[in-house]
Amino acid sequence: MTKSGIIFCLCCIAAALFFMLLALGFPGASADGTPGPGYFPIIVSSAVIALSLVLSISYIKRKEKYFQTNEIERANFPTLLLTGAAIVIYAVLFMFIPFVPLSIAFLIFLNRLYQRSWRFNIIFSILFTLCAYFIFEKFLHVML
Amino acid sequence: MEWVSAFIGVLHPQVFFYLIVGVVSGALIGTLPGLTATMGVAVLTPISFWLEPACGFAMLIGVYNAAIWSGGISAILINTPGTPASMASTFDGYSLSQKGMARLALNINTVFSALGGVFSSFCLIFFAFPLADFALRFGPAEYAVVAFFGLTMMAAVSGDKPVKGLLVGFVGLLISTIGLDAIHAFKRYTFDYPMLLDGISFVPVMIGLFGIGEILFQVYTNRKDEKAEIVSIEKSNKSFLNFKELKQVFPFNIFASIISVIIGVIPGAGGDIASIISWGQCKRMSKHKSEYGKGSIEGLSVSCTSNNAVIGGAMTTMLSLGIPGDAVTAILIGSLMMYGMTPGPQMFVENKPFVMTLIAQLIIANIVICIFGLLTSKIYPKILRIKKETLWVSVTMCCFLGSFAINNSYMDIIAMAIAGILGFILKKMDFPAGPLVLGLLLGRLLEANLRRTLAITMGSYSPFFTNPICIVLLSVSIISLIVPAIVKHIKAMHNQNKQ
Repeated sequence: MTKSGIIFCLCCIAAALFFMLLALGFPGASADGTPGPGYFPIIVSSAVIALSLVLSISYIKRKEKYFQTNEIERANFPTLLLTGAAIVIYAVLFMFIPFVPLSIAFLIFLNRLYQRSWRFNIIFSILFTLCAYFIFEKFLHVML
Repeated sequence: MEWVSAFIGVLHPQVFFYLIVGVVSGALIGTLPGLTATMGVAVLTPISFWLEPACGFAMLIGVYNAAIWSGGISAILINTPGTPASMASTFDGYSLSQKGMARLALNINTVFSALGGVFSSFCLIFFAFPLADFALRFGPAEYAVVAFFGLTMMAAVSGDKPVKGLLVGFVGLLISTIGLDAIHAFKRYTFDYPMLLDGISFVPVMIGLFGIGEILFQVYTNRKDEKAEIVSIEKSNKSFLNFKELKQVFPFNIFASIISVIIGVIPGAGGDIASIISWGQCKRMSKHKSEYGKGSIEGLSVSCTSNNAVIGGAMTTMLSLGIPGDAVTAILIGSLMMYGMTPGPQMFVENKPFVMTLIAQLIIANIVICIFGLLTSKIYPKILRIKKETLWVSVTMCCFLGSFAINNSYMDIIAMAIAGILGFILKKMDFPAGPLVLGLLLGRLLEANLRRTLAITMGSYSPFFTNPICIVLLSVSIISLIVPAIVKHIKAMHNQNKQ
């Protein structure tokens, strides 16, 4: 899977090009020689592109392999995907659904995913959420 | 007199309470394998913003020191370092505990970690102030070069992957350009989102990379059938070293402390590197070489001393130059900035009492660790029985709460979740995540000072090549980038010749 290393480098190059192209549209240097706002992003993007190319070449030359999975990782992949998806969904729903019900549901889902017993799952999820709510909302005045 | 009031300030009940809270939390975090000091400080940093600076920092300093110390506990009891810094403690610690001396090993870990921490705090007192005095002469050109130096050092110590370290560091620099630029306040890459005007907040990225990223990696590589065998400490009869043994190990510990402080000063080199180097050097010098790795008291004490002795070194560059010595000090810089203080020589002028308070907190935290560790050595086998699944769920929730608590911003939650996924990908692809944070943190310092220098010189780069400080720092930066590649090449040639 040398490909995944190269794909990562290509993503870096694409991001750097995006930053560079936008930076080319920023105001230029002033008459006294002070560099404009695009100066630094252009230098850094160029460095990212150069380093990505160097790394890609080394991947091809040395045939470095990444994302090679063993049996354990393959077995855990669905759990990883579901955990990642739950994290993203929780992050998106955080601004739409009140903290307590959303967090209890999130914790119950994760605990179930990790095969904890229903009894432990429900008690832990409710207690943890309520403690977190009390500490952050009432004690630290975070607007959950 | 100033020092006396700094120490009295730390002993104020409120500050002392948060210091103890930090030590207890750090002990828990460090003991449990998988939870690192970086993760602990990153997750607890947002909570510290709700406290007075002295209280907030007392908590963070407590977590930092205690997590590094307690990483040795799981290294001793289950042969798995709680934090990377305790890797060398497994060499002798686990063998000692298998010989029925687990309690002795735990107490050696506690006492020598605390001694290393106190020693390095005194080094901080002696070296940070003169270094800051010297750095007061720095202008924008020197600051730009110092920031560049910090970045190259981070890449240079990324083990056998300096190009990867550099690439990730430059990606961090690129992300740091989002928001208003430091000279003209021009909107860059904000796409008219007001939330992006201040740039990408550093703390949620840090929490995501080191918290969520680590959890996802653990979920992915989890062995369900794996159960660590925890050594019992009930059977232990000997609880500490006798005078003769203390006399034997003492010189080695002083030597290890000095090496570790120096390694700590180098940005990016952490406790893991320091303890392995110290352990190796002391083994070479010891009369009992053959015992190293088989339960040597000398070996264990040296590795434990080194873990915590790194902290003072890392704090020296952090406080006096504003350059983070490791990932934790990078977060601490972010925290200081949130409190309106910018680490660097100017801090020693504007906030000198607070700098002294920080150093006093370091010393007192290590004394608290020593007492707390000796009193609680019996409970750690029980803590190690907590299921990792419970930790994953708890840490994930703490990451969300911590990210949101900083600014009550949904943007921070999203940034944290994205950084978490990125953290997992980086870890899976064997890229170091530290340089990304460093790039994000040093980006503004580097850019602002580079452009200021060019504004002063009307676009001329001459100060970077004529100023002696810049020449020295640039030369060291370039050497630090080239030397690992040369060493690697020589090693490869040597191996080829052998074959």
